[in-house]
Amino acid sequence: MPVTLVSLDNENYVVDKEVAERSILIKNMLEDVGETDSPIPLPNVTSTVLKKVIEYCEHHRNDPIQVPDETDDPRKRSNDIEEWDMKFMQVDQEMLFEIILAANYLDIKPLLDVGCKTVANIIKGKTPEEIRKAFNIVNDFTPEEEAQIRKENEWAEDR
Amino acid sequence: MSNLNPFELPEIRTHIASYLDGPELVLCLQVCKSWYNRFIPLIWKDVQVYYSHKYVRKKTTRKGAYQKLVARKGPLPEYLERHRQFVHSLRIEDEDSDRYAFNYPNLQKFAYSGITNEQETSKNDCAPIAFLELNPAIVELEISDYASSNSFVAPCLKVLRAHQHDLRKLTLRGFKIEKESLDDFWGVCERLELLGLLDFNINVNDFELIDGFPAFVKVDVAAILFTDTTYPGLRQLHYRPHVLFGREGQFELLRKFPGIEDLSCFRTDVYSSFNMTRCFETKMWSNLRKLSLPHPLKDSELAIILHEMNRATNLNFIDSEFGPLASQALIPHYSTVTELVLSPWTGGTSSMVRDILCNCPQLEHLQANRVLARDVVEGGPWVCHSLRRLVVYIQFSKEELELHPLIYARLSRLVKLRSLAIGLNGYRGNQYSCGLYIQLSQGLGALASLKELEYLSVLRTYQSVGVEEVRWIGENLKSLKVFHGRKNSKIFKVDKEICALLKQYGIKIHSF
Repeated sequence: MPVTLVSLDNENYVVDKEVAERSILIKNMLEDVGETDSPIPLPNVTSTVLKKVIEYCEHHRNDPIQVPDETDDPRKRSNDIEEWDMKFMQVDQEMLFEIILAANYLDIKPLLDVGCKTVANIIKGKTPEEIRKAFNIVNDFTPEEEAQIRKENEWAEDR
Repeated sequence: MSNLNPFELPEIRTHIASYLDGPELVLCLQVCKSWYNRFIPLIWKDVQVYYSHKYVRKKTTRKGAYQKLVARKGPLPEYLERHRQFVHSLRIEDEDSDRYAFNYPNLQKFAYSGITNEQETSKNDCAPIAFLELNPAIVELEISDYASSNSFVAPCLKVLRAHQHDLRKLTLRGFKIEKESLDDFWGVCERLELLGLLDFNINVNDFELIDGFPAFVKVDVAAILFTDTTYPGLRQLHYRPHVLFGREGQFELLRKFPGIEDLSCFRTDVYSSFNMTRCFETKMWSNLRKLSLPHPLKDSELAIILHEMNRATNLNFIDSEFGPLASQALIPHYSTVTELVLSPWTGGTSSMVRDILCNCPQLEHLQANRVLARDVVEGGPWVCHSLRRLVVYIQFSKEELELHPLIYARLSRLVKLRSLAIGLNGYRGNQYSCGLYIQLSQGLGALASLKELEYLSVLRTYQSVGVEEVRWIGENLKSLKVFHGRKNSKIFKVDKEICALLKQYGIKIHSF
């Protein structure tokens, strides 16, 4: 059964229920209202982002549903992104952030994971100056403040 | 929603940070003030101050002459004070607890161990009294005190009883109770859900010696001094008595906690005369669901324990004799058991393992003995489809090659498996044997259904894995991270090529 999703800017998208239910938010909504033909408004997502999210859900429609795992290593790896996801995430930074926020709002855990891993990978291996450049950030610390931060937090480096 | 930066949302920030290591987080702090404010709580959430001891060989000599290097790890007290509002969990190993005695407004969990001072000077100064008084909202506390005299636990108990009303989890290590602090100890126990007593003992010198009896009898006498009150609120007990803590005393102590759901006993190196079965025979733990008892027990003793337990979920009987009686007594638990750790064991047979595989639908973790392939291919289907970790050595005789596809077919239905160890794990020496051949011609292809498999071990089995097999593993077992085998056995015959190929697929080779 198809489901109609409506973006912030009033674009309608018709997708299979199975695809829409990759979003736990939508899944719960559908369970609450039961069988319905009425469109589902998603007032937090613009059409460009929603299109992208639907593309992801279409590709991953048959993946097993992820269950939260308590035994997971607290320090997780970010270098295990699938090839398709990696290509999918090759977007400009604004879009990347939008996808993360949409995945968080729509409750699509695997997409949120991939998004956050992508951001982590941008940070990895960079100096503070390079991070600033990557995220277009202006440095508002004095050199003394920076040195003090390093001194106070040095201990955390060999955790 | 646009213009909102995902770093602004604390849960997303934490999520991103979970992929970064310590040095990377410290670099993030230096980016700008707003990043500093976002990441600083993550750095200081969990703080450990300790001394690391490393033995390093001196450069001047080739043999011997190790030098002990002691390095202090963790933040200085003044920095800790400045960031104390962020600290949720704190572990301190120092001889002077007063240096860290500040109020930490969000502290939940505190662990303290006074360093055993060889000179035994003013041991009482070690007691983290000021610290505990300043932090009355601690929920979880661990105190270690292995000093031979002047234990600081007694003053701590007094403070805990008076101030720590939110305390729910308490672990005492090396704890030696004195007669006058028994009252405080029981007072604290009233609030607890979890109690850890590791190397617990009663100070024998406090009690009068009965003429002609050895010292441990004195400790048993101490038991009589315990009151009749019980503490049914306690759900979890971690227990390792001191070697001198006598039988009666232990029994009396354990009897105080009738509400236990989870009992973990830790192995002592010294033989303990205490017989846990007595606690089960008196039926004092009707809520017990999780039991870890790594002491060598006889088949009949295990049977008594299993007989008295009600719908057990987690059972760990490592090193015991799990034989026909225990196997029979396990039957009522088939429908509830999720974890079974039985090996290394003595007395078990292949058919016992087969019965477990065929009858325990909730099972997530099974560690069993070696089984004969010809025995486990018989019988009904394996119902344990939730299995995530399976440790069982499947043994074949040379004439039984035709059993391989049957075993592979059974394994292929355990689609939740993350860890599969079908080699001689945990055995020492140069023991080798015929296990499951990792060969496409034997039916390896069936394992393509194990999409979540991360760890595969074929340790100490004869193997000759070819390039084809490795390629198949790389292409089909996408989650596999570790392939454990012995490098210089036949497993990696064309060593270099195979190793390079595994590496290419991101699979590590562990070998001993």
